[in-house]
Amino acid sequence: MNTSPCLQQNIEALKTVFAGDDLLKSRCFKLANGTRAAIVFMDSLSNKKDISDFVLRLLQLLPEKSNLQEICESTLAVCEATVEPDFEKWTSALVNGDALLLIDGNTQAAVLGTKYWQTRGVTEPPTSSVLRGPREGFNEDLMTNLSMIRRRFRTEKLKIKQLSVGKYTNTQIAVCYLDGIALPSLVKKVTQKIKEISIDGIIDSSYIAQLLDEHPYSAFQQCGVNEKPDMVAAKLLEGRIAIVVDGSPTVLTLPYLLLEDIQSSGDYYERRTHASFARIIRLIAIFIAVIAPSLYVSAQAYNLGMIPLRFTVSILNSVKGIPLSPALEMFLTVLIFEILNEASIRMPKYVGMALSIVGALVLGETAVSAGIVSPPTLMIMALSAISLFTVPELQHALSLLRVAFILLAGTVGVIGVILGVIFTLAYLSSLSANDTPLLAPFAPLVASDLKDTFLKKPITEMKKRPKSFLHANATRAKFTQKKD
Amino acid sequence: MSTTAQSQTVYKRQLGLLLPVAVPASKLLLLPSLITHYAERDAAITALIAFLVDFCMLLLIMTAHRLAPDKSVGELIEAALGKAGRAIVLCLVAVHFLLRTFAVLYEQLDMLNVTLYYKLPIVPTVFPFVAVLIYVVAKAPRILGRSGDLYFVPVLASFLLLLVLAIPHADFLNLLPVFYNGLTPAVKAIGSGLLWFGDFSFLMLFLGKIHPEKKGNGVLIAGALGSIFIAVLFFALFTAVYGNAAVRHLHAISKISKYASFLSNSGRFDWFAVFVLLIGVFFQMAICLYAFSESLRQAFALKSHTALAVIGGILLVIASIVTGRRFELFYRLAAQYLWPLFLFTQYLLPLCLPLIALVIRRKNHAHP
Repeated sequence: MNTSPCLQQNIEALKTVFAGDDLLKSRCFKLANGTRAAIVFMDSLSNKKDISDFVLRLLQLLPEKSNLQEICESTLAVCEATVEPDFEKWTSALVNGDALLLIDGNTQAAVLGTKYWQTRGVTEPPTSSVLRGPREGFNEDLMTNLSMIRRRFRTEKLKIKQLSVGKYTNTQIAVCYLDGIALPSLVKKVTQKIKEISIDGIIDSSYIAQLLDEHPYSAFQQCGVNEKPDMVAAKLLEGRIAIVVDGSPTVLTLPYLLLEDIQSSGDYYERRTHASFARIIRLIAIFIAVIAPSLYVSAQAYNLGMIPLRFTVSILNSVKGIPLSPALEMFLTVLIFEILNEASIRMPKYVGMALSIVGALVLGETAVSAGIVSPPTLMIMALSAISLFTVPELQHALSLLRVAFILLAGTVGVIGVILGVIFTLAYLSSLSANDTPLLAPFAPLVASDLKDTFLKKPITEMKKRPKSFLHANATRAKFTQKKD
Repeated sequence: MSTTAQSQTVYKRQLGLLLPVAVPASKLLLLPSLITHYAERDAAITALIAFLVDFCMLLLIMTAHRLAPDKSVGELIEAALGKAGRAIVLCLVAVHFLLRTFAVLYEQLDMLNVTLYYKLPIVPTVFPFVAVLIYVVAKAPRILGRSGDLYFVPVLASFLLLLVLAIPHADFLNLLPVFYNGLTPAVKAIGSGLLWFGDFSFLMLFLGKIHPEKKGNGVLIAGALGSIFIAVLFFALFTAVYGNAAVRHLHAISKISKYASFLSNSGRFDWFAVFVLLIGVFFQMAICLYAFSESLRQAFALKSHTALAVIGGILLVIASIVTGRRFELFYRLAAQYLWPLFLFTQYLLPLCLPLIALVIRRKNHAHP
């Protein structure tokens, strides 16, 4: 659409484009020299106070100017003010929260940076809590999130590329990386992939994660998901790329290793002994979460000899009279747990407590008293469920594996569990995303990267960046080592 | 970086770690009892002799790789015998490896049937087994290489656990005197168990797929020697624990730590180690099935080995259904009639490969 020197025609054109959208507001006024002008903006996306204090008031008081460029340079007291002749850019500016200053006789408009909307505060994220270390988490505002990342890098080496994706949402996406550390070819590849996305809208960063996935049918994610700026900063320093999406409180990082989900940001703020201990505990927890129910099923169904004799007697006493097979019993318990889990996520918080009581006490106790479920099954399931929450990012994939393993154990016993383990690890070994094997540094073995795995070495020994994925600069630090 | 630069190549380091995972565990099922049948108390030393011969074959294969690093076994054979010769030789190699896969599959399933369950019939358990086997082989050789990296530590830890549990009950005097009956029983034992030796011959099928890095030879050699050491140690331990009765104890892997005194209180937690070692046995099968499909692929110059792996899997299922639990028939066939095939693929072919590679290298030098 063409712009016109007539103020009224321009306003009408904008109203026509936004017909049906009552949020579009226009305010006509006269400049000090008597020329007619108007401010057009989107209510709720622009800051009205800024518009009235730093635009309207000054234009009405300061005399003798009707040239837009001059007004932008010497009259307006807003940070961003550019002159824009293109009508498409006008509409784009309006939906992004900017205000337009139109002056009669001008075919151009001044685009004024007056974006303002309500955002959630910076709070501690629900699944990445730490005892020690930064507690701030991302929120849904792109600029707030970028400021939290930018604040940690007082260098021009941090590059932030802004892109816009989504035919209707025009979602702002920022690709962040450290120049000289991140691999330029990877930055180019990721940016290109994002630019090539053709979709009506991006609502959350998970859309981008799915669109970037190289194995879309896999149960395992292929992008790192971060809720805290300190985690993103640490990953940028390792040579990764961060993707921040407007409207999403999670930031994606690439390349991704499965190991990242077993690490916690807290590990880097605690003593290395504690961090190593915590990581080993998480590994054991994964084992318990996935394997323990299936091993119990196979032991009870086929091989009680695996269990110590005293436990065998007590288990046999407990399962006496249970009408269901061990596999079916465990499967039903898992099913009930998953239902309770789904319900507790979606239920209002105040009902959560009641749900816990009903689920854990009433259902569990009654099922045991009625002789439908045995106490060992319930206990193992509860242990498995708790263990699952030690690695929240892997929770969904692991709970699927748990069900599959129970079915395997129920049908072919322990050999089913062994085959399940072999298949899962073979599958994971075969997965690569962004030229990075998911199971690195274990498969393929990258010996130098093992120092930040289960037995974490002191920071003074982490002089090199991880070799499990490619980056442009290997050296992280130069320490003069002090021996004990 | 050892990640994805050359996705379908395997590093020598990975093969070096894969050997201790796959080789020793598969030697601890029927073989100890079988060898003991002929060699009695000399079982360990008999196994050592056979494994050392195998080790020489590994050195020969690696020499062939050093001389002609980019040549596959098929290309080497073709250079010597032509296309028809290549097809015939590699078909024989394929048959050999399919027989090996079946032998290990049978041993493993029989062990599970006898020691763990009394309810599950052998045939239904074959299906999931073969399905996972085909999946792993379809993704080979990269996955096989990575599996070496992944399972090396758990498998080694499992061997160590069984060792610690078994040693208190071992009487190493049971191993003496050495060669009391001369060398004949040892030769007979090796001859009757040819199918269980010659493990390193599978490396022939990795020729042309081994990453051309200079380092890694040490890990490969150490891996081979380590796997020989573990296997011989367990043979010795088996004889030391059971003495003259060793021959009656099939499935040594599940029996070796059975009498550890505190297991009676704590339960057979040594089975966890056995289960981990069964993963090693699985990878022995995967290697053999891969060798089968890869040799057929090279024999007929096909693009992919996946379909051949599926065919191999189907043949394994059929063989399991047909033979059922009559493994002794298969064993008799292998020991009495098929030994020339094993001699050819396990020893004669690896012996010829460096010579062919040398000729090719000289030709290339003469006409670059």
